[in-house]
Amino acid sequence: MTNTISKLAMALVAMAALALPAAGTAQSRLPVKFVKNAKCNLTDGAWAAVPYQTLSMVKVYETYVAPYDPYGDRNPPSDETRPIDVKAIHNGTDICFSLRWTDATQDLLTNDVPLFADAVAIQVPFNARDMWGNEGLGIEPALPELPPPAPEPVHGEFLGLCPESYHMGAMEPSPEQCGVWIAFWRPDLPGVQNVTGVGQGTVQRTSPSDPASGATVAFAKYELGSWTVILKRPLVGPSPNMVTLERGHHYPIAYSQWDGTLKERNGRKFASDDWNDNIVIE
Amino acid sequence: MATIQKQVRMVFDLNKCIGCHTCSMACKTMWTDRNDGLMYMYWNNVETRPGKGYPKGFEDAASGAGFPDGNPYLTSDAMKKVLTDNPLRPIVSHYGAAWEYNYSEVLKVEGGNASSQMLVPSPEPNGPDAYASNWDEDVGREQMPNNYYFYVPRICNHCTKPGCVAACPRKAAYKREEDGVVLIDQDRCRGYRYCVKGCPYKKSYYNPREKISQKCIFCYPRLEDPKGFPTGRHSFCFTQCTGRIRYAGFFQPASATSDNFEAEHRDLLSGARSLSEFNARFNVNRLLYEYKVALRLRPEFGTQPNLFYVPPLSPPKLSSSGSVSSEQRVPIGLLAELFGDYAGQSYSERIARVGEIFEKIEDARAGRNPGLLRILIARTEQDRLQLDLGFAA
Repeated sequence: MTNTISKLAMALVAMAALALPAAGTAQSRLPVKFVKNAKCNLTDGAWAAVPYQTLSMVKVYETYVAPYDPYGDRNPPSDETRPIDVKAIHNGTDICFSLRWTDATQDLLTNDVPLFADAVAIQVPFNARDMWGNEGLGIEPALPELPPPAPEPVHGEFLGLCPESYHMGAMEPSPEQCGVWIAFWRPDLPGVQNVTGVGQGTVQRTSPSDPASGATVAFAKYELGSWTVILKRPLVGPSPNMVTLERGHHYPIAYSQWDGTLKERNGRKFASDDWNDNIVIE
Repeated sequence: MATIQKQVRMVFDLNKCIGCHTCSMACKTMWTDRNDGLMYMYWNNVETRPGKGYPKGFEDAASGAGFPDGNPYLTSDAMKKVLTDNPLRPIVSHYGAAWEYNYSEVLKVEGGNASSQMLVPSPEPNGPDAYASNWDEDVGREQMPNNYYFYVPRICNHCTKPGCVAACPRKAAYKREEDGVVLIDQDRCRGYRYCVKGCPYKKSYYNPREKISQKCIFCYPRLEDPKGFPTGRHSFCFTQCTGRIRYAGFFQPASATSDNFEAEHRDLLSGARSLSEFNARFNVNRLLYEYKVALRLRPEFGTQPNLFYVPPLSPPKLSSSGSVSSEQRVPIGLLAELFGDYAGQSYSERIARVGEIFEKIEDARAGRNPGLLRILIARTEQDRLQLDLGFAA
């Protein structure tokens, strides 16, 4: 683990050049506006400054397995989609994501064997700052024109560098190139979990002694059949186990959401399809 | 899948089980009384058969439990079906609530007010949803004088092909190479409960407080010191067994890199292969392959359990006048439903095997098979608990 942390730390210093855009569907950009003194809680008027963007998530994996080979036979992605509304602001110190989605049932508990709670997560890869190219620091970067979609997009392809399991990062060709940071929220947990991953089945909660643990806080409400969850975290990761986000740069981001009523957990979820969603930190 | 250098093997002689639950209490006090989430679990339970088992209906194919008929081995499709369709059972109605008594109302100690004279458990143990680890205690079937029941103590089978390991998407469940013990890495587990679904014997449990899954660990911290060297001690449920029904030993597969020694199992049963010097050290292997008196519980689940049972004998029925009849009291068909050698064995083959075992034990009882009798009597603890022989030169 220490080795992985040090590798991730090195990766943050020495960003590899990632210039090849992924083949696939159209890119989305979510501007992260600067709002001075924004507190980001549920009643903060700062949120009025930005509208929600509706993004589409796809059903990505089922945790079906081959006998005795947990990684041998997973179901292919399905065509089902689920929308999620997203907006984000920052106050120069903290960045805040507001995630809103419709869910007819509020699932809060996991205190019995068949009970699963609703959940949501955001995910940003390490080492992917300005992966589409940047027009200059401090200026809102324009996303470059994308190549035409490939006829058969390869699910999980990440810039040609991380061939597997983009949703959880990938070990190949190296953890520092393909690791991901995840903030995971579920209502029955005492706090937002700081998670890192280098491939499917590898996600790991950061140790409680790591400053990244507890660095992300959540404000959540369930009203009229809809969840709103705000995730607030420092722009600068307090340890190598939390990706640092800098003003004037853009980052790919992925969203995942679980519906407890449908017993969704782990790979049974809806998530962004490939790295097509981006935040642009103004 | 890890290779297995040697595999822990267990035999429980059901003819000696008196249903005292000392094994369950040993395990409970050793491992599962440590927090609220563990309290409902019985990693070791003793259930009465015929009965619904623990958790309730765990092997009831009609409710989607176990593995689908026609897929005796764990195929990809079978596992998908298990993970999709197998129900996850609520704790209270299927495992039984962890109850507590109203000590503070009865006793004056520790702030009690002695307002009540009666100790009563809470929650109410006889409500409509009530259940427990041995709900069918001593119920059985038929009427006096031909009523019958027997006990089946169950722990994790530490299967050669564990369903829990196959189902875990995080490799949190794993099988140790050195002894084949199946464990769940408590740091890696995130409480998805696929292992609970994936284990057809339902010996992986969800801890709702810790939000992770837990299971029998074969008392590995007793078996080895902190550096991993064997201590010569055994699992607590084995050492505390008052009926001395439990045998423990190792089976070493012929191939050092094997993770599937089922073919060897069949060869040893059929006599096509003989026991190696190492394997012959252990009475578990002698009961299995030399005397052929031990069977698996529900081998059709396909996970190749490493816990075997000497099935209970079936005494003759009594007629209304009290004379002994030639009819057996415990239907041999019931035993053949429960016990067999391997997945794919037909029902009629199972019936034949149970009948054969009856004869072998009768032979031993009549003094015609002193070797078997000596092992079944197990005069000393060293006759039953033999893991230490696995480390002898």
